[in-house]
Amino acid sequence: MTIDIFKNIALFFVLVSLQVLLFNNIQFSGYVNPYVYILFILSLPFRTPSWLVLILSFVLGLSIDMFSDSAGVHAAACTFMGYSRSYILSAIKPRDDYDETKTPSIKDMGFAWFVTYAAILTLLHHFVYFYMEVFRLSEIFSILLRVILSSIFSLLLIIFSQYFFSKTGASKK
Amino acid sequence: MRNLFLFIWKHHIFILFLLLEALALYLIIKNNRFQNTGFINSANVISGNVLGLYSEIREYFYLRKTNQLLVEENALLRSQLEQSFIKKPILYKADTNYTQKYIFRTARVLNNSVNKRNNFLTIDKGKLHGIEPEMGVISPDGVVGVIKDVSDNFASVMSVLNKNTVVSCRVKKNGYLGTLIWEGGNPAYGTLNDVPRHASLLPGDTIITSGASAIYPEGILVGFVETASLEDGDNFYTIRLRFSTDYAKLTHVYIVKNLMSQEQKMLEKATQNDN
Repeated sequence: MTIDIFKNIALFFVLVSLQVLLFNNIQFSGYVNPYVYILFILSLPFRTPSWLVLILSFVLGLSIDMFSDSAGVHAAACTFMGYSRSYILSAIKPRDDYDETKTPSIKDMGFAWFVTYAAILTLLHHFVYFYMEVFRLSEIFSILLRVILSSIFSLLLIIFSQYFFSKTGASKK
Repeated sequence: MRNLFLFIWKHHIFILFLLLEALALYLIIKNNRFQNTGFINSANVISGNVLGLYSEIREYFYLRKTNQLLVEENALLRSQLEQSFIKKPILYKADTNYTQKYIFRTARVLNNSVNKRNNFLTIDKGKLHGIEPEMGVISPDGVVGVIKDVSDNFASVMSVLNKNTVVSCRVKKNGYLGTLIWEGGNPAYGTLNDVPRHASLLPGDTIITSGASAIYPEGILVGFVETASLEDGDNFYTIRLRFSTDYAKLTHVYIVKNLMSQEQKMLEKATQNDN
């Protein structure tokens, strides 16, 4: 229990610094911005209470906002994602319910389950983020393109990082 | 009353969600107004220092390029020195034409982005160095943006690559005015509007700042015309403009203080109030 908390605090700082110092500087043709830091919300343990998920999401978004001058846009997107998380989790529940001691990861839940879960939430987050950032109707389609391309890229990086963080990874499943 | 508490308890997650979203929206809307000093920006103590350390490391990779730029600019400035001109005896007159209008200060870029719809820079000069919101920021290559928030030691700059930035420009060869905006996408190209139909324009024409806005001095390079199209019945050109500055590579910038901006603004405000 306690070790979980420390692990997640460490993950928080690692992801925020990676996002701010590395991924914020990545760009391809102005359309692709990966936002990998949402891996933190994705990988909170199943037993985390909903209110804590919400507050952690908000704080995470606000920390990213602080470094990228987007004042509240990341916070709004993350809070929305944190709120949707419990609904997505119950929508794609495996037959024998979740093991409360586990975390949503490829290692614990298998590849197909994790990709479904991560893809839906990543899309939701990017959708809210890019539309909030522009806040203007005239650019609807170019933003949609950004949402889709960036989501694909973020998702690839998130899946890759799953293998990176736990070397034994999905080979067990 | 009991029912109210029951209701709140039953939906407490949803209510918390709404509260947090409302807070985030409040921050966004507050930030969209041009002049404010929010805390959630890259000019505060924590993020300013982290980004500063990071940029110090990153700068080593750009040293050669930066040096070259500075040397070139030094040469240019030297050519404008008093010694570079033939001395003619001039009768000194206490005339306002000879008072200084602009002061330039240098700053280092700590953080910079070109990949978002609204891009900002963070620089290492702040309130203690006399930086104030709405000062212009330029690089040796051209316009960069406008100061948005300032803290004691840092300031954030709203880049030209931002949906809220509008730069008043002029076609160098014939003096026609236009306004520059950035429509997102490629950070190397912007859009110039409001140049009238009867102005003759060719690809490659130089676009400079007009100096109308009291932010940038007149004649700072903005970019070059890439394509200028004119639909039937349009009164204004649609111009695709190639920026003279590579915004992805900024390391040093100049902050422009307009010593007379207060005077100009007060006059313009008085004129508006009269109407």
